Amino acid sequence: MNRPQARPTPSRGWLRWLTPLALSLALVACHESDFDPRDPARGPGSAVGDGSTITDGNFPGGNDTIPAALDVEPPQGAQVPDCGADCLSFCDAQGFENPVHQGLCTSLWGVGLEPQPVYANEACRRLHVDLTGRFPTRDEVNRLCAGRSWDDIVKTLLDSEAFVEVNQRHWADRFLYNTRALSIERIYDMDALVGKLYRGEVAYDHFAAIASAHPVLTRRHDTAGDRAEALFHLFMGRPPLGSERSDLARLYTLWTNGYYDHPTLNMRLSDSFIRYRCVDEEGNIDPESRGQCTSILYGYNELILTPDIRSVGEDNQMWSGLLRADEWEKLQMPGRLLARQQAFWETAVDDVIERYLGYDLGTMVPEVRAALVDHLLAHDGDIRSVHHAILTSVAYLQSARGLTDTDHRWTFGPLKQVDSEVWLDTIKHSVDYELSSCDHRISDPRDLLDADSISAIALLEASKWEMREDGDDVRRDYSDLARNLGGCPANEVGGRFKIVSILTTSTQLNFVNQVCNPAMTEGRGAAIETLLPDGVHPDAAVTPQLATQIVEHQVETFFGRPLTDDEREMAATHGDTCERARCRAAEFARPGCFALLSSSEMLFY
Amino acid sequence: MTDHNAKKGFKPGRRSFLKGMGVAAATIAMPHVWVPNKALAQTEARGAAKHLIYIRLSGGFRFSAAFNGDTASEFNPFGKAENVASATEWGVGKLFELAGWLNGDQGAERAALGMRPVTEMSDQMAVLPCVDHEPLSARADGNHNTGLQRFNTGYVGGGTSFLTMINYGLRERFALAREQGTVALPAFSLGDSGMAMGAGPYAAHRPPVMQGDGFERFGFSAANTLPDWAQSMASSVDERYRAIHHPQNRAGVDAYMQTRAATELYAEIFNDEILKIRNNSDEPIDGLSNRQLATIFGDSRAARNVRLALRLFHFGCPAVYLNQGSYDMHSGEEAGLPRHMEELGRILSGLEVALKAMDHPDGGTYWDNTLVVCGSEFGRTARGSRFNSARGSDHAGDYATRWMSMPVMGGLVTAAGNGGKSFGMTRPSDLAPEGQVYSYRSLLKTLMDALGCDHREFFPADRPFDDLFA
Repeated sequence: MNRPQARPTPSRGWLRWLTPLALSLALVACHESDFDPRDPARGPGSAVGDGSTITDGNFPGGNDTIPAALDVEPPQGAQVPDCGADCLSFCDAQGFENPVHQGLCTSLWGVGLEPQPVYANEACRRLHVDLTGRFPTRDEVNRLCAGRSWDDIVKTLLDSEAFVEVNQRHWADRFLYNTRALSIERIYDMDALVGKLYRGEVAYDHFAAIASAHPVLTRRHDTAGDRAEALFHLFMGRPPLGSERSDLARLYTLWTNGYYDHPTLNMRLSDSFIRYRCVDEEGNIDPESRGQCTSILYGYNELILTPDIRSVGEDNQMWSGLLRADEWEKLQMPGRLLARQQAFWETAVDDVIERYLGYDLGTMVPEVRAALVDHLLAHDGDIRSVHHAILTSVAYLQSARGLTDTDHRWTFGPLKQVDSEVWLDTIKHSVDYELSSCDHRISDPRDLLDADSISAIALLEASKWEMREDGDDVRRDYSDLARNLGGCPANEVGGRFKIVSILTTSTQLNFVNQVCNPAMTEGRGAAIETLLPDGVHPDAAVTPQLATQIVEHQVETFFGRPLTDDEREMAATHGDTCERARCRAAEFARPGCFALLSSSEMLFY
Repeated sequence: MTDHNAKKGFKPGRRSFLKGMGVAAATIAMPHVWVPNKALAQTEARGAAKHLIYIRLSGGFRFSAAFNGDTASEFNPFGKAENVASATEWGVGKLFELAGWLNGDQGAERAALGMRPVTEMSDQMAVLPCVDHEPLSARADGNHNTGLQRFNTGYVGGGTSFLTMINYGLRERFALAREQGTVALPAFSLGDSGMAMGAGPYAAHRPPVMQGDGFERFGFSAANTLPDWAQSMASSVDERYRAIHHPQNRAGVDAYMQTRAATELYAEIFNDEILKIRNNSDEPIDGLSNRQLATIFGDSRAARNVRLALRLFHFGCPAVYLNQGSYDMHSGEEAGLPRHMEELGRILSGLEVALKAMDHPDGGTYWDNTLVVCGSEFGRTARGSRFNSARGSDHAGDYATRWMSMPVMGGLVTAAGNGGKSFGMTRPSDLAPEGQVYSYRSLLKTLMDALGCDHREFFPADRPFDDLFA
């Protein structure tokens, strides 16, 4: 695309005073075009659902009684468990409602293996991260988990908007949202659709069907074959075979890529278009070429649209924004075809297993996968049912700690690495540190500013990006950090990553150094009050007792758990050292903050 | 076709004779049977370069006005330089005559150091006039997004950047340094994250991306910042967390603790005075002081990055990537290009002077051990005119967009007698290729090979080539 040479742009300092007005001005300006910068979603996702849920969300299986293992010699080492007649009778007799327990019993209790009992605090912290995207403080752990059944806790979080947002980010990574490759309206539309999926308003197969013909998928890829392949990766968990790719590609031949000029955003947006194929010059189905628009691998499935007044130009193309509901439905054929396959549902289940357990239990113990698929289908494709089943299962509720007698992966709990956003948001929240944020729906916020339109700025204002004081750009403090650590991805080519490398560790240590300010540089770091227990003055003289109180406060705030005995002893010892050096409370709290916040306990959970 | 194809007779040339002698000598010298690694296609210069400065002429560069200047005015409206260094085969653009940086007192100082216009040092570099992202494609890729993806990764949609490949390809060297308790810095991207992509097994090898020339982001040292008790506390918190977990869950924590220890070594380097390139120090480092480097290169962003690159090389960094100029001139190119090319000329001339003046820690000069290469996402076209209607140029699907005429400069090139050479050529009237066309990926592979990288996992359909170094 040719672009005019960049010209100097005047400072956007005027945004400072305009900001409060931008949204209302934009709303007035956009009234005629029905464009709402607070909700710019446009596409097939918006038309789905009426706000009602497909199930009541009251899934069974959250209160199974956990049995003691059958008294038999457990399989040794990595030996495959062999469930004989006694084992089968034992498992049948348990009457498990949770599908994970139904599937796992014959590889766990029934063969003499015991799960690793979880610590209440460990479980609550893990659940909080997985469903809200942030480590909890100890107060939050107590509020969420104390005195309640685990089933109740899980259901509460599954009903929360935080759970929806975590999953919206998950699918943003999978679809590789990028506002240069995709229309921002389409991204918002898919994001809203994902929201409906995780609020239980759309069934998983319906979601896949819509996604299969959604511009976030079709526009992201160049050829029909690439689109077919992307669909396979998303919903079948593998690349297609050559025959599958070429066959499914025939249902993507109608799509082509193009641009349209958005009237109110003043931006040229990348979007999908329909190029009429398999029709003759009069627009009637061409009997000679109709086979090129027909899939035969999953039965005879023809996908041909006929042009009308909406198509324009020599190429006879139509912008996908003009598609009617019945045409969208036709175009969603690839997703519907895949949803008829058992592997489609197995992939849906495996994805959830992998996210919560961090290993492939569905392959290690296929009975778990099969039971979860039945469970999902029994709940009309409500994907929340799978989340609930796994989160309330013993596979999830195991400790990652201690030793086990055997090497079977499902006999001890997961220890996973956090996404960079979890790490950053936790630090931001726990010490009230001034840090902005990023928005997974807008990869290149600068483009909205450069559009020089009120609507584009209003859209940005309504997003999670924060404007800089001078109004010239958004704040990049959060996104620069997150992108270095693998999060907040721009999705230009690759996407999110989670690694441990010298580069990421250096970045993390440096950031924690900024936050905790152990060198006590004037005016830097988090407010000292957040690092000290209530009522402790920063100038108070450190004693072993005060040092212990400070470490206890920080452990509870950062790690969400009580101080252990050995930590108590460690704190007193360091406090004693500090006392002899005549430390003040602040001089102990800031280095202590660094020691704790930079630890692996903030990275793995 | 017969069952018995006539085999070509074996004619031992000078090169194959020497190769044979080399193999024989190595076999005799080695106490074990030496089997060359056939899977690793390699050049004669494999591992001969220790450093690479890779300069992106940002935004799409009008190569025909610079490194392939012997063309019609529609491709090079500025003309060809007339007085160039003898034995220069490549077409030196007239704009390289510009050398305002040699004027005045400071200019005299630069001249005294040996700086000269590119036209006078054109015999120090070889040019590949026809480097193409996709030689088998019907037309050029003139799209900014995909062109840049190709430039950074070799492919549209490529997920691993060139610098990541370099770091990955040298992973054993870095590991060896760590085992020996030292640090060899990885490749660095100075200002562009597109050169720092990598996922899966490559993610850990992504190059650090520097914004500006400070190392604040990487320079934290616990030893220099924390009291002893706090260092001990930090270690014990990690050790405790590791110890309580199931052995099969410890790998991530182990990796974190190891990298944390390694960052201490990095911090020492990043806090080193040598890297404070704007301190105006007169202390010679490898033969040139920071003040001298400032005199040579100036203080523009690109110049600071070049100065920093030379200092990073001191610590074993194999490659630095940086941007120069802003060449996406759809308008105002007629007036704007000379200014940017004058800066480019200064950088190239300065690099010749600095690299030759700097002693390499491993012996010889940096010139002997360094390659300097310029490229861009594509060339530029004015579609049959000298300029478009806005006195600029665009990018489309034609030859002018297609060819990146890439210069390669350094001791390896001149030592092989290839300084001033042109590997390939184009027809002046229409830029049709009349010689060798190189795939961009094979050039990247050649550069990786010269650096001694293990490049077997990258660009399997492209081979490194010997032309530049043989």
